[in-house]
Amino acid sequence: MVSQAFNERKSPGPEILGFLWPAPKPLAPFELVSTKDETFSIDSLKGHWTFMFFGYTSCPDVCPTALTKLTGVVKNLRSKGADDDVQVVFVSVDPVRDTIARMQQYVGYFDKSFVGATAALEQLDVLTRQLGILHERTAPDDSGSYLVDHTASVMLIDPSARLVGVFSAPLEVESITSRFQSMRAFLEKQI
Amino acid sequence: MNFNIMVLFAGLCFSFASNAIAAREPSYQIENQWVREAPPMASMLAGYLQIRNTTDRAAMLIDVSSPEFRKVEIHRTEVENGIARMVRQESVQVPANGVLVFEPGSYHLMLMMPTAPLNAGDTVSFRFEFEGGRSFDVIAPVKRADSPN
Repeated sequence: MVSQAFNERKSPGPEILGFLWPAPKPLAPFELVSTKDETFSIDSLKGHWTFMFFGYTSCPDVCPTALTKLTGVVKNLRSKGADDDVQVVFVSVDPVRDTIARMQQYVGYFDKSFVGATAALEQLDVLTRQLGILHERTAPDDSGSYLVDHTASVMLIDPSARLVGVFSAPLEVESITSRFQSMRAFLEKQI
Repeated sequence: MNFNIMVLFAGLCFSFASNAIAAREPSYQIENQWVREAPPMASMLAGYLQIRNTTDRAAMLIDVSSPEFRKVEIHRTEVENGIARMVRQESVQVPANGVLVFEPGSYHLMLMMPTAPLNAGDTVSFRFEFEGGRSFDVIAPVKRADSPN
């Protein structure tokens, strides 16, 4: 009886690339500094579907490409009236150079609704470790400038603050939009 | 008189035609070049293009420079096990009778420290230098990348 109820709750779910069902990962508390409110914490995730991408503002190719794709996803959802509880968060893994003022200009360029967040590495890694995000600075060049290698996937976190999906590179607007909508439709039926 | 005009016209046609043929002589062409507009505070931008090599020998691009940037490097984004890293390329080879594409998420020009702010509608001059002494000057428009699918 119990196992039947359990099976019902954890139904196999649809086959969607990047969907973490039936094992979504509940997140533990973390705290970042945000461009929107003072902090971005686990409470900022609750009640929203969050697309989270990790990068840095001195990244000329991967990060602007990912954020441009996410503006496309948001536009798609907006056109369907399905963006109300959706947020896009860009988390900098380069807190030494990426001040909040800098992040504000950066994320605002892509979409006024995008949130930028970061924290000192120790705090940042409370979140990155939970999401399986890796980031590593490369050796600085003669002018002291460095790059940061980082995970290039977009994480999807549900309104209960669980990691439910991972969209891997190369990111495609239509594919992310439709996979997100399928994941969301399924999860909303599970409650 | 009419005949003379016709001869002159025919001569002009021939001259245009031979110019067109000259343009198609085996060579290297830089095509579809553009610079991605970046947020106002950005000190790093990226440039994209394709290089067409219509010769029977591989071409080796060894340097790119621009008066609009203090430093230009050739990079390639590589994603391995989900991790993106940019790898500097000392040179890149364009295959004989082939095309090498610089595009988001792959080969790109890493454009560092712009000498002045660049916005969509501005242009950037580049000099591409190939092994063997050939060099090509091109002008690239700065464009906003609007959510390509």
